[in-house]
Amino acid sequence: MEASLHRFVRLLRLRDVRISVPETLDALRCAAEPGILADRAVLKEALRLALVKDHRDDAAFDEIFDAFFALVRVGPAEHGHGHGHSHDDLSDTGELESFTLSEEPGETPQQGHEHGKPSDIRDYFAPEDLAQQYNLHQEANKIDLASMTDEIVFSQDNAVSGDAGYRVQLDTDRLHGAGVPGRLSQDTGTKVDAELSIAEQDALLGWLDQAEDQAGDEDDAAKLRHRLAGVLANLPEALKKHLEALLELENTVIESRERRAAEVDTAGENERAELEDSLRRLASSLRGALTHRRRIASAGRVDPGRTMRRNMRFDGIPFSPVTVKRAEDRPRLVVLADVSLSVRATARFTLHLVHGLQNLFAQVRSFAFVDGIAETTELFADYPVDRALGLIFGGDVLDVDANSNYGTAFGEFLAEHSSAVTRRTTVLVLGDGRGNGNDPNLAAFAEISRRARETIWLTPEPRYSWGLGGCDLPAYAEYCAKVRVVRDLSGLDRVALDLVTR
Amino acid sequence: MTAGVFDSVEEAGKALAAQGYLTDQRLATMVFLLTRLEKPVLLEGPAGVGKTELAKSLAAATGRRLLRLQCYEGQDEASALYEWDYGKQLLYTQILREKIGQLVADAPDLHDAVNRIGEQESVFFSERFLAARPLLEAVRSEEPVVLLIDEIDRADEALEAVLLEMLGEYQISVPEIGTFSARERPYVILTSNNTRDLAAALKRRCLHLFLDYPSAERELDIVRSKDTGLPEALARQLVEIVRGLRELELRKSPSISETIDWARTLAVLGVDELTAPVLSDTVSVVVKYDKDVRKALEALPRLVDPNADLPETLHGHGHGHTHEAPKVSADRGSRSFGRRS
Repeated sequence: MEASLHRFVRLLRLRDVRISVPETLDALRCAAEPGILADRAVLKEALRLALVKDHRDDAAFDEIFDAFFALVRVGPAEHGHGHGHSHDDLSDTGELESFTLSEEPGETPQQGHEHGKPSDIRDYFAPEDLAQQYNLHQEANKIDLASMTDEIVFSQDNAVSGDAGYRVQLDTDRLHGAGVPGRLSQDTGTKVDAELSIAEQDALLGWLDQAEDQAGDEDDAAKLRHRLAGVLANLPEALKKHLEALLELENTVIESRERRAAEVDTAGENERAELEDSLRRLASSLRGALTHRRRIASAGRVDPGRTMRRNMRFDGIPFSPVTVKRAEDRPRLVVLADVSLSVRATARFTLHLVHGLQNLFAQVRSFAFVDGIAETTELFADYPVDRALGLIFGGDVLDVDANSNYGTAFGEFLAEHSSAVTRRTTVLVLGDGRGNGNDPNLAAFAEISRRARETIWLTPEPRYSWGLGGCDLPAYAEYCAKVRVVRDLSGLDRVALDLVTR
Repeated sequence: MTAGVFDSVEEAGKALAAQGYLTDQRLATMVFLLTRLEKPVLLEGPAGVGKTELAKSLAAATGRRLLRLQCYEGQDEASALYEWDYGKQLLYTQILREKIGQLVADAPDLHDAVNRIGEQESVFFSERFLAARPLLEAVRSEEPVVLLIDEIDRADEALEAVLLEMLGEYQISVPEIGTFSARERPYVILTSNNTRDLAAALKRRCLHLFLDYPSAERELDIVRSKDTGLPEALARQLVEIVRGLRELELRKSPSISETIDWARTLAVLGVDELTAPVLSDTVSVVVKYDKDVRKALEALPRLVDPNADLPETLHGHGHGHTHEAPKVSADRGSRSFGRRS
């Protein structure tokens, strides 16, 4: 079980679920508790408890669990039904007349990784291999494994003419699990082996002898038997070889896919961690308003009451005065992010930043604007960041292809969401300030910055180009406490450091 | 077997059910593992789905004492861990002044006197003068406890860091005295309303469960078990209506506790049929924001009777907006009349 769980965790990590080593150990301990392994549903919940720390990862967990533990037998319930993942609804349509074994596996391993219902095992075989056998009836006499019968029936059409041909029948009831590559190579291999070598082969050959009377002549039958004997003797090996090759191919596909995904993900993960660090640093520089609470501080006003109380031990002589300061409230943040075409290159980063801010701090409201403005707070709260970005850029929230108009956006913000800005709020504007020659509506921006405690503008554009083209940033800058150039993570990091150390 | 360790998942579920807390498999598994592994559990989910209630029921089911730490914004560790009881120390020094005087009376010089006082320091920095707050109390307690740390997301991140030692090792270090370790590991349940992401370090130390609104049957079972006095058929219908309300985009969706409140309200009113007007009159029990109330009123007629045809829906709509100009509703009325004929 340890190895299985370890692999399971690895798969989860590939899907961007953050799992640490202690959590893996927890999962092992959970699984080791009595009764947990007895039931797949219980095991699922137990592992979920230990491994999934963010409900946004639930979907990924469900998917991978269902796929992964379809391979590993869990509990007696599975045995009772023979096969937990049954394909009984697939009916046997018969009509198997010809059977080909290829030395090479088919080149289209589609089903294997996802472990859905094996809809058509024929996909595992190269179509040309299937077709090159002797087709009397175009449709009917290739091997038709798609029908998922309990039997593989094959015949050699060249030896037979007519309907009552010589048939060799292989009972391979384990073919059920054909969609599951890991089990297939082991279980099916041995099963076929056993059944054929002990009794079936004789029975089949005996039956072939009887059938000689019917159609065709002696030579054909003998020839057939001769050929079949070779095939039968080699069948287990051939099947096994084929499946092993198939499995190998499959593994390489999975591995390469995993490796690719992993590279992308780890990079994303590092960046995210860095972003979070920078944001935490940045946030510590943001100030909230003073509250009525007074805190003991090393410098500040002398608090008579507390001083008396503390100096009781010195018989009331104010030996050590207690000074207090009014505490600062935690900052409330309003983020206004430009997502128009002119900043598209950096908008993705910008919105990642907004998302990060919202996740890390309690009181953040975010708005996206182009020529209108829309609140995105809930969007970011409800969806993982990629999905939310998709929704915003997909134009579901506002028209992102319009020309950005800072004037209307600020005006609209003031009209509809002015309650979001109070004297405790820090307003963070992310944009390049290029209003395409529209009225910059400085009055509205001045009003926003007047209501807010502090206004900070982060622009992706370097300072020298502000004067070029219709950029209103210099005008807006007058009303901002700070204007900083932030293009990417390292820029944000610098700004955060700069603000903190001041 | 120590008290409160369940033998199986089912047993855990049954024990909680006996306390009037109905679990699904996920919850039962969580409780089972919590008692077996003795690891803290972090419950996240919307308000009112029974996170706090679970801790209470677990305490009752296992016969443990419940200690509760309610978190709030700006909380400092003194109110979570421990405080030195200065007042008491002061009182004792005052009363014992003479005794202390005797102690240093025959000291030859100041240096010696300070040393003698120093030897006695441990008297004043001892457990006697330690005012235990919930966390320390949970660790020091003689009897096993269930520790509920409620709404951890409201507290500052600094407090999360304070919790780490406690959650990881079940111990608390007091610099003046030493380290307290729990005699019997407490069952720790943390709850969060998910208003912000908690630190990864905290999450890593906990088993994690996202508690969502229950399935229809479980909710019905819960309503039934609370003995609201509402007939079975009505309760069933009510649960469906509340589920419908949850699908609306409300600012605060009604939770289980609100469903129960609504059921009680309707039972007190002696309602024997759920109609749109009755529900509209009492909808403020479950929906607490003005905007939400308006949305709920619009949706209620449709929820009560999904087969209501268009004219009826319009009627209901008109009903919800009684403040609308009479002309408009008359207009709508006549239109629906016209269609029926």
